[in-house]
Amino acid sequence: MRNTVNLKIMVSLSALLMVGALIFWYKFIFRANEEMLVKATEDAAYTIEIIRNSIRYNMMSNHSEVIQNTLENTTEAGLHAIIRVIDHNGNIKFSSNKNDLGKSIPPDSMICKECHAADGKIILKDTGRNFFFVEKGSHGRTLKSFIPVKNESSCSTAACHVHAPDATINGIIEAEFSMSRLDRKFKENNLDVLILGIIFLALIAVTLYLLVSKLVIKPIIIISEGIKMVTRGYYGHTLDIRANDELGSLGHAYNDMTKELRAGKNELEEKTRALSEIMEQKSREVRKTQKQYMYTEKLASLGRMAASVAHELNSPLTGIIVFARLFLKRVPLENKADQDDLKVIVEQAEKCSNIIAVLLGYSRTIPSDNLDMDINKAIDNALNILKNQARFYNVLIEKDLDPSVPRLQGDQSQIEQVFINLLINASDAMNNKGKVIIRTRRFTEDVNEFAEVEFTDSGPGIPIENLDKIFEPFYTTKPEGKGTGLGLAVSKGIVQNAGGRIFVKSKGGEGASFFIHLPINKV
Amino acid sequence: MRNKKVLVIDDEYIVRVSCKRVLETDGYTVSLSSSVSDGIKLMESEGFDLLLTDLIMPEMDGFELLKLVRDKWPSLRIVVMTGYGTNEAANKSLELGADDFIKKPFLPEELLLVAGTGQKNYVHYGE
Repeated sequence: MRNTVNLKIMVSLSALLMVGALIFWYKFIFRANEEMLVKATEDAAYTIEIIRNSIRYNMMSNHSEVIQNTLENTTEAGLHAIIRVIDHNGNIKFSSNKNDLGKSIPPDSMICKECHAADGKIILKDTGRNFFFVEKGSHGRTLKSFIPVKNESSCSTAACHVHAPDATINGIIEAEFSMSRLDRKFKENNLDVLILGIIFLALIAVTLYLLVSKLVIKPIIIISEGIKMVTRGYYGHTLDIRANDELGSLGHAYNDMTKELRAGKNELEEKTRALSEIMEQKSREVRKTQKQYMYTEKLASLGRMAASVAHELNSPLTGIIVFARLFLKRVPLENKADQDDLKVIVEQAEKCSNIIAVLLGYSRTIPSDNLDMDINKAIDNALNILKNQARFYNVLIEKDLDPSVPRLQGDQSQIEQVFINLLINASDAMNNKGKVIIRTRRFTEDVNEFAEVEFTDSGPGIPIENLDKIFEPFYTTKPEGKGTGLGLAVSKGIVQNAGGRIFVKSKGGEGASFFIHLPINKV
Repeated sequence: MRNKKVLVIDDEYIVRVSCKRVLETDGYTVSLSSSVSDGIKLMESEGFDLLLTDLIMPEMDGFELLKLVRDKWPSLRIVVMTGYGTNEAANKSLELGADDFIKKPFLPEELLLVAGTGQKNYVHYGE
């Protein structure tokens, strides 16, 4: 790019300078040369004129030797020219060059043609300024100047009687000047002009090149590098251009631009960061939801499997228990061994039944879509489920339900399962004989309203050292074959899922009270 | 008094036989049916004092059966047998007109209790 701009400027400027130099050369040098040439022809004419006048007397007197001497003397005097006197017939009568004597010039030579046209007509020209140039090969050119010698009355009346009285022209005086010196001078002048011109051109070109490089190319390169950086996305670059010209203001404009871009980029990065944080948070939420969903799905499929297994197993278990019990009734009481064996069959079948019940209870930790529950109704439902079971035949249920407890948000069937678990535990703890008091009430804690459900049994209570452990999975105090240790753990999970809490109060020997607190959501 | 007629509908053979054996020990006359349609035919041809039915059977929804029977025989005592894990179904069947229900598996004593009419829920049961 630098070369291109500089080259363009150099070429166009050089062409301009060349044209200027040519005009200069033509206007001054060429014209001066012309002037010198004119001067040379004029000098030649004067020289011939002087020679004619100087030999006039001797011509009149017909002093041939003196004339020849005079001519030869001109050469000796330093005149660089050959002077010839030629008669009208073309014979060289006198010459400063002795070798010419006796020779003649051909009738078609330039001197003759000056007056004698090709068709024989005679054109007499002004005889004062006749000259022409002759090229003589390697000797350079020569200037030939001539004047005719007109016939005068004194010529024909002279004592020698050489010239007839009726002739117009008696002869011609010709001078042949060598132009080699002058031409050499011209050549030298032209060469000087050429060399000086080239030096001048070169100086201008170099100066211009340096100036353009410093003032234009260098700033352009700096700006171009800066723009490349912007193109690559780097906006931290500042141009160091101090010039107070157009390129300087371009540099300042660039600096302003990168400043704006930096600010914009920072802002954009800030926004991008904020956005990616939001995205990250959202994706965390999505992952959490997905995890929960997968967990729920797992529970649901486990629940479906358990329900189907339970349904299949309930019928054969019915058969085992019923027939073992019927058989047991037929075995005489004194046959203790058979009685005990049959009791084991019934016990083990009941254990299977309990395991199924717990499995189904566990599958109930899956929340259903119906999230509207009535606590008092849930208690009635749980009692309905249990009332026909033999272990509740001797359990007195005392209900003290607060009808003002509102409907709550939650899965009623899950809460029913919790109540069933607590009631079965109570019955088991009392050896299936005793009293269970069920109470509901509402209360306010801080600003939050809760519904409380209390199950108090008349059993032996729970030892203080076990109070912390009873909600742990697989912890059971029931006899071998009776409990799975999952009932309370599952119940705790259900209550906590509903946003509530479950806890127990017990004094040894005075029964146990289980409390469930569920939040009342104000709409 | 014990010579009451009972119809048991259940698609499981062992459940039907169990019910029959338990109820017969207490003097009931027991008819068995493995499908709802057969059961309804029997009910139309004979009079029964008690219907003991499963809730989930292949050919007809147990609740539909309940409604149908309750419409046709308003005074018939109906006891529903359910498996574990169907607490809602048990309570719903009470709402739809069943008189009582029992969970499978059950003890012979439990079955006899729900079969008898007018019994109190919390009677003393001694071993």
